[in-house]
Amino acid sequence: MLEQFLWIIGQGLLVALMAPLLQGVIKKTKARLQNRLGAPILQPYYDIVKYLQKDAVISDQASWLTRATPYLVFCVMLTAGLLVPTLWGQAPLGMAGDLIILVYLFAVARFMTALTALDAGSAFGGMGSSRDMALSAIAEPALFLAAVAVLITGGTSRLGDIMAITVRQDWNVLDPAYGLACLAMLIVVIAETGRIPVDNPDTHLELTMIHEGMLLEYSGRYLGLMVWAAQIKQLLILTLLIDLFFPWGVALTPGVSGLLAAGAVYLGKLLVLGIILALIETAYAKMRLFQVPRLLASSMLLSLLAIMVRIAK
Amino acid sequence: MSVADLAAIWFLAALSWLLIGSITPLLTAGHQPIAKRLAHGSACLGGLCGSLAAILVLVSQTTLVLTAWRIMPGLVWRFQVDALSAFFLLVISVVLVAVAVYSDGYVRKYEQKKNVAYLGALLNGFALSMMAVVTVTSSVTFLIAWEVMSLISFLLVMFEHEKEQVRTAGYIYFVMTHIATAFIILSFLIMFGFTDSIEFMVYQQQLMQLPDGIKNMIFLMCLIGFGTKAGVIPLHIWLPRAHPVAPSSISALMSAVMIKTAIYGLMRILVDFFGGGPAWWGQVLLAAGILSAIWGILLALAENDIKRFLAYSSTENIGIILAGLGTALIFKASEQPVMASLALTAALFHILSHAWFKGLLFMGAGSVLYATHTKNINELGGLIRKMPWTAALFLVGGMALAALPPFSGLISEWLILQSLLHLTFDSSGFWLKIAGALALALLALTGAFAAGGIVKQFGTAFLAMPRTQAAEQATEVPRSMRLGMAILAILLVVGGLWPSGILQLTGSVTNRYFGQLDGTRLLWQPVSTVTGGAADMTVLAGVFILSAVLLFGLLRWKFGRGTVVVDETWNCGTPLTPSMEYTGTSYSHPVLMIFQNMLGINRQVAVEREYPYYPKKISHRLQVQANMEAYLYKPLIAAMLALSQRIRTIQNGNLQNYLAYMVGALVIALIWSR
Amino acid sequence: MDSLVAAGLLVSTLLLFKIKKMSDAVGIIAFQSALLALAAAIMGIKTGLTHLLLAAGLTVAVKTLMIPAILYYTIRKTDARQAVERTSSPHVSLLLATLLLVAGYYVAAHLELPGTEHGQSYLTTSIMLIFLGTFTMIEHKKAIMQAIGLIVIENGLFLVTQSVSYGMPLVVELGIFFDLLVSAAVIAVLSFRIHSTFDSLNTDKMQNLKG
Repeated sequence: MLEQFLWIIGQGLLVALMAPLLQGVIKKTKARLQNRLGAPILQPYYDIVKYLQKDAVISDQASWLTRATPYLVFCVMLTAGLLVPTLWGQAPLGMAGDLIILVYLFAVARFMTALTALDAGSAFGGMGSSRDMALSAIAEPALFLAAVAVLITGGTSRLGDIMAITVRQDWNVLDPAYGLACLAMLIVVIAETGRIPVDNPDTHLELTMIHEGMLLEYSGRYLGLMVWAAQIKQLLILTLLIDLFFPWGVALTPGVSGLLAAGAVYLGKLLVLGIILALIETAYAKMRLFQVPRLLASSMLLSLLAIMVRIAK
Repeated sequence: MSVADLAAIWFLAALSWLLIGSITPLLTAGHQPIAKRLAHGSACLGGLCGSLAAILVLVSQTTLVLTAWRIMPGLVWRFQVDALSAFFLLVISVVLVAVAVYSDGYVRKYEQKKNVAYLGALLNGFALSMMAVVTVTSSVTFLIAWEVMSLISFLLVMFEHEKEQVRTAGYIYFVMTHIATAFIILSFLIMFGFTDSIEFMVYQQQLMQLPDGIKNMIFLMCLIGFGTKAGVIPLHIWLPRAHPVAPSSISALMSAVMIKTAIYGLMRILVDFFGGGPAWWGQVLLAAGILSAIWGILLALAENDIKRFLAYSSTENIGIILAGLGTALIFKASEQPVMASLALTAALFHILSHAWFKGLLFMGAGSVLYATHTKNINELGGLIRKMPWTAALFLVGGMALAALPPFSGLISEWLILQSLLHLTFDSSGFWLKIAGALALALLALTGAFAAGGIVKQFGTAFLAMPRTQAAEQATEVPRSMRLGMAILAILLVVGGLWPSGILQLTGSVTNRYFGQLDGTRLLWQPVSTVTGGAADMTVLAGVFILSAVLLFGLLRWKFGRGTVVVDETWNCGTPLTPSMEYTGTSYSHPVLMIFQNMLGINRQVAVEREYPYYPKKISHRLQVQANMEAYLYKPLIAAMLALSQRIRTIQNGNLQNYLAYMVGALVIALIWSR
Repeated sequence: MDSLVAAGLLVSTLLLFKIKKMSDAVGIIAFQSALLALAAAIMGIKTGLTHLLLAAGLTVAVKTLMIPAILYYTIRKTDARQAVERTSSPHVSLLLATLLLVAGYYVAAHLELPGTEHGQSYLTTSIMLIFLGTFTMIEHKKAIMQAIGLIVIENGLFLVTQSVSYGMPLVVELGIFFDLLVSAAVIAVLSFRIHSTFDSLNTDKMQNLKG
């Protein structure tokens, strides 16, 4: 019981504290790739602490939703963080939620964010909100399809079980289904984390923004929580990619040394993925809004192909 | 006294209360306040007794049989409450309780305009006929109850018949519902022809032995007949017209409960009589369900009328239910009873949670209508401050509709997705597996769009600034209306956090027809030894609350209370007016543009220029043409009209011709009959 | 005697398709009804049932006297030329009527109705009368002729009841006679109206009233 409790607390802290670091790495890499010096890697931490200290200003049109949503979204993300295996082959709450629940936890966070974006009555919020609900709706089936291509091996939707099966079966990396599904998942990851070419995380311009537009009315502690929650989500999505496609190196047997090794491997995988994201973001330009569904549709097509290949075997 | 006797007494009490409620308001129609109390009081009591009876039957797994009336030799009006009937009885009764409470406040809307005694009496009669539909035991009595239900609901739809729009909707409903009945009668006639009996009990034993061709014919007729009543696309056209124009309490009953009676009919015939049927039945149901779901939600997204949105969403949810049923039949046909049980559980659970959240949402929409006299969200706004209770309750219903945690909508969605996952994992056949994955993706898409639709409706109607005077002057609705909504909201929470209770109820249905599935442990126990999923909202909610408390305390301890300054919204330096807000039309614009080829969007942008590059005024219109109706119904109607013109030459109004037909018919009949 | 009466009934009905003047039809109806009364009277005497005699008397009163009188009066008042208008030529209509006779004979032979001892010989005739009466209504265009067709049908029905069960209870019989009288009167009144509106009794003209 105590171990379970410690495990929950530990993973919660890990997820919450790693998320800004990942963001810092991505930003730094991007800056270096663009020939800038860039902010220090730890800058996201400073930002969050600063936000949390500051007073908040909210709109006189806003209702209780605006005040409640940041806490709600943050805690939902933390809860979701307990459903994803990180170092250990099982998630702390693996018995209480599988992949579907995870996706719907993301959905409830997005729902609340999109709703409060309309709360202040500003058109920017509405714009971001309507675009986000349209695009993320199409990203959701793409995520499911990419995941199914992997889940079909184990016939379960529990992330822990599927990881164990994948690690033990030693899935052949040269399997075409693997590459197809991984590519499909990468597209979904980009869409879900709100990065170029789907969304631009660095701007509030109404022509390009999606996710950032929804945060426009937040300030102070509320903004801090929302930004932090978005970073946690980014971490979780990447972890999901790792769990589904690169689970090797995760600790399957108990032991401190094993966990430490797994921690190092996990960190390494995260950093590599972060750098890949930064590379993609630097190499591509943002897409037009109505091109994005095609990108996601191609992701779905890739996943379907992957599923077909896996079934046919 | 055994449990069965107790249940029988409660069931009889429910029927009697509803009967009293259908008659006494008419007798006291002169004194409307008394009639109103009588009607709603007995409807509420009837609902309570009905729920009790249903729960008793489901828990004790007994079957009630009550002989009510020997109409004539060979035709007996009998009520039989077995597990399947009891489940639907529960669906009807629970929503009826909430609606009765709600209606007591809502009918004040009609004070001095209409006689609410009739509305109350019809409400009771409607509930009574629905209860009869799900509990009678022969095809003739079923059709009688079914027709009474259709007629009463038609009268209720026409309650505000002085409006042109209501009359059109009512007639379309009337025509469509009778087309449905015609097909149902046909299928029952075929059954009668082959078994020479009208009793369901005989059907259960004998229909399995029918030749395949006949079985398929019955299946198709049932699908069209019940599908029309359920509002499956493309037979849905009456639903988004009729449901919104009825009084909101009635819309709640119709959308939440009445369309489920069609699902009951399908389940009774396909599962109970035919024991599942061949695999392609399930595949057809799955395909129809998915099509209905995705198309329904896309059309719903385009709607700016809050009740029409909900009506389209009903076709979506019926689609989800059908998908679950179809999956169950597929598994049943391939001899995988546990999986079949899982899928049927999903369908049943969704029936229950859809009844709750759709009832709640229609009542919420009714409250908005009550307070502001408009259903158009583009004329609303800012209601969350004027009507905080209604807003919160509507949000609960909306989140359940969008299948978001922690409400029971999520559990049913999870069960459906889980059974589709297992269609991919465990079914035999390449294409079936692919179809499972595709269906899963499309249902996920549907769920996400539903969330978008709710954000649009709730955000435009309840948040930000009021757009019109009516929205500005809105006040919170009477207590009884809030109470009615709260009942269903509480059920949604209970269903989400404690699904094992409901799974026990659905379990007694699934166990009867398919394999043994320990429903109470379904959610966190692997379904079979290899496969499994997990969804335990109780734990997640606990962790969530714990983390929220921790976070709140930590922030308070580390950074202090933190002050919040309230100021006006930044609008680039100009004052913010309601016309600058995002409207419902603009909110759904991206989705509609993405799917414009599918939906048939008619978009007009009119620019009023004064100087080049500086237009004075831009107006933007977006209309969904609904290609489905344009390409399917228009040619059908045209063909019908052409045919009628042909037939007119026969029916030309000439007396002598008619006489000639008569003589001809007489001679032929006499010669034939000799 | 019975077969003679039956033959008279048939021939008189067939004559309806040969006439040129409408007043002839009224005469034929009166004659036919008289024959019917005769048949009923014969049956009444043979069986000793008094109500059959009463029915015969009523037939004479209503069908041979009152109705023809009403119809004759109407014809004289409305239509000066009194010409019969048909949809087909007299020969074709006679041919069709003969075909109907054959059909009626065939039907009656196979119908196996439980005929009575004295009524058996009338059964075939009565069914033919019903057919021919309807055919009269189909064939002729004038409103008065519709009334005549109706009376022929009624005569047929009367004969059926006679031959199957020696007539109906007297109350029913009375009702039917009254009904017939009223319908003849109504048709007469309507004919006046039709004539004053269209200046003709041809029912084809009423097609113009259709929407």
